[in-house]
Amino acid sequence: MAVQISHTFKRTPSGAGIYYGWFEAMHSRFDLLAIGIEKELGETLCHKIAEETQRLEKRLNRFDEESDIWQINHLDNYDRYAADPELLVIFAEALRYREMTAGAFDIAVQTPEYNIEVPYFAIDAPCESILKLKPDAIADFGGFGKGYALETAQRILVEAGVQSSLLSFGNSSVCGIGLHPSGKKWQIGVENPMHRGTTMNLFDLQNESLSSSGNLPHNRGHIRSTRTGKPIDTNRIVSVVSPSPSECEVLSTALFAADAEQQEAIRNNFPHLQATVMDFSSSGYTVQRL
Amino acid sequence: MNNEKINRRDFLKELGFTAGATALFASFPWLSGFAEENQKAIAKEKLRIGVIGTGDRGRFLLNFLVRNPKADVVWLCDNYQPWLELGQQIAPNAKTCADYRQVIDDPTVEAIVIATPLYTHHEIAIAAMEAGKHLFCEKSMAKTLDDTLDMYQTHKRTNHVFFVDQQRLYDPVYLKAIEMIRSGMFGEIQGINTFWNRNGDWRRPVPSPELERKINWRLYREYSCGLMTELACHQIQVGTWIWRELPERIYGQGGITFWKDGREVEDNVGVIYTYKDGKRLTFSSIISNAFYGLEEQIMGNLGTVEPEVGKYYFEKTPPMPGLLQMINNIEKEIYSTVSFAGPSWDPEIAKQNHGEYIIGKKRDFLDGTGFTVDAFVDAAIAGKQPPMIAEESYYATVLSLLGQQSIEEKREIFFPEEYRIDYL
Repeated sequence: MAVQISHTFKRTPSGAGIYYGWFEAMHSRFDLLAIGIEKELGETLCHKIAEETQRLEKRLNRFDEESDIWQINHLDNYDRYAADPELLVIFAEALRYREMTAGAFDIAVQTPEYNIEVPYFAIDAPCESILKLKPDAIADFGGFGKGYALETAQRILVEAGVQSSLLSFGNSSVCGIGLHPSGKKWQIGVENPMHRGTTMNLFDLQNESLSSSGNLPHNRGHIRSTRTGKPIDTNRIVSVVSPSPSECEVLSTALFAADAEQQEAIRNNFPHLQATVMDFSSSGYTVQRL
Repeated sequence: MNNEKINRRDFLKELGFTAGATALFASFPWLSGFAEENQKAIAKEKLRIGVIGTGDRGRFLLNFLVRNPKADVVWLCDNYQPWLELGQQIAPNAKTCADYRQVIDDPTVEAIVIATPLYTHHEIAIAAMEAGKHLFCEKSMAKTLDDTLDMYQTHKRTNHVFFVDQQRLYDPVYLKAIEMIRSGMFGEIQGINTFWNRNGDWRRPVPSPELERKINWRLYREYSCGLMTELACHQIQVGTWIWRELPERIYGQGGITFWKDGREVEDNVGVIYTYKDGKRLTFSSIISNAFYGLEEQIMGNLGTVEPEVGKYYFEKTPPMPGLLQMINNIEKEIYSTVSFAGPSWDPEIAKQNHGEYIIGKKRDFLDGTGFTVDAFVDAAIAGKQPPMIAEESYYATVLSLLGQQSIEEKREIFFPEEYRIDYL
């Protein structure tokens, strides 16, 4: 089914187009703001991004029986799944992030009786296939898919020559291409969940992404610790800024779930990373650079 | 009267344009009088105006005129002395009279404002136009189709400025809403559901019984077409404006269902205007229940606009409010930050469809009347008739009258070709 896209189009006083398109995908809203393009191009690009996002969702949604991930999750032990290059790369990236975060990020964390020491998936590159190493292993790309889709969208826009754009996928993954039309960086705030409309911290973006992971007061525990396998329910948000949307997405989740040892590994493996921790309660909040 | 809060420059700013913006004037050519260069050309001029009719509406217009430095109200005319005296309180330096001919015969008067009962519009308007005066006439234009056409044709022949108080054409909220509709953000507009409900008898106090028909002229067929010409003509015009076409068929019904007090015009009406391919504009008015008040619900397959509330709503996922605010600021060349980032999209909050403000904020001015009056003064001084004003007004009146005709004759009416003008 075609994605239903909504649009607005305006102009700056100097006549530059302001295109805004949005649609629902991956149980979230995708927002595309692009400056300096005509309406027709904006619509074309937004449609292209929506189609790509929908296609990725069809591949990565573990609850969709037609998706690759559902089929992988329902393989028997040691079965292999013939994968095309895109899926191989996605798995390879996920496994690489597992390694580089000392296991703080793991697509297998939803596996029953998960154990951080156990490998659940592997890639057989020469045979172009993915191996399932445990019979009950569950792959979940919830903490990866939006970042990957945002990266795809970023590429589509840059290839089309868009020089000023702000993208958001579910508010948790944001990407600023180029500069705000004023010539300054895009400045995005993380909202205080206890007081909607107020800001806990501002982030400047220029060809960079911002990803935030954590809990909302009424929606907590959806991220599990890979050390304990248990949901984390602290009132905390971790935001990460990096040039890569998918890296941002992975590392904000990993840092939220990481213990001290894992945090250290992440800092060592990603020295360029800008990470901020925001703890909040009904009486206030604190902001700390990690 | 909050129009004081917003001047001409602000008016353009409300629309996200600075003065001289060609895009605005291309979309709404009748606003071109507000262009900086046109304003400069007439900055020191003054228009000598005679106001005929100083009842409630006339005094409302008068309040705008006396605040306009380019307007000089030199005559007030009304054949009901108490209203004339109230008018004098607003424009104390104006001469007064009871016979409109005295005003029109004054060669120093350049423009006439008519705010008299509907049945008198035609006679006074024709006299004014034939005398070479610029004319601002309250809506509706006239009580009959023939008189309405005669007024329009006389305007075309005499070639002076002619405005009718179809104030939505100068209302920033409506202008912005139309711009959004034309941009396609609400999809194809399939229907327009308009209503204007009040709870009151629509009467003015009458000091003695012999003045009943004079003061409460709206209630009697000899003078008025009731709710259709007094209320509907504003809302029906929105259909013409949006669809740029005329309805093919008109079907109305109505009656006196509540206020059975001797009045002759309906207190309960409903009219369906059917356009090409079955698109419909409906108008309904009940004046014994005000709960839903006044609105034009403009419905596209992607969203709905309610200009009176000043909001729009999307059918599916609403847009991100913070981004819309940022877009409004970019449109005005303002740099702003936006705080929406967080752990995850909150579908519970995102799905709450409270709508967004059309001009990015709640309306803090009354309507477009003040801007319409100002635009008339500017146009009359410049001697330039803005495009579309007379034509939109003409069809608004014609469609109101056809609705009334359908109610009275209890039959469907096909748009009569003899009342088609060279527009749309």
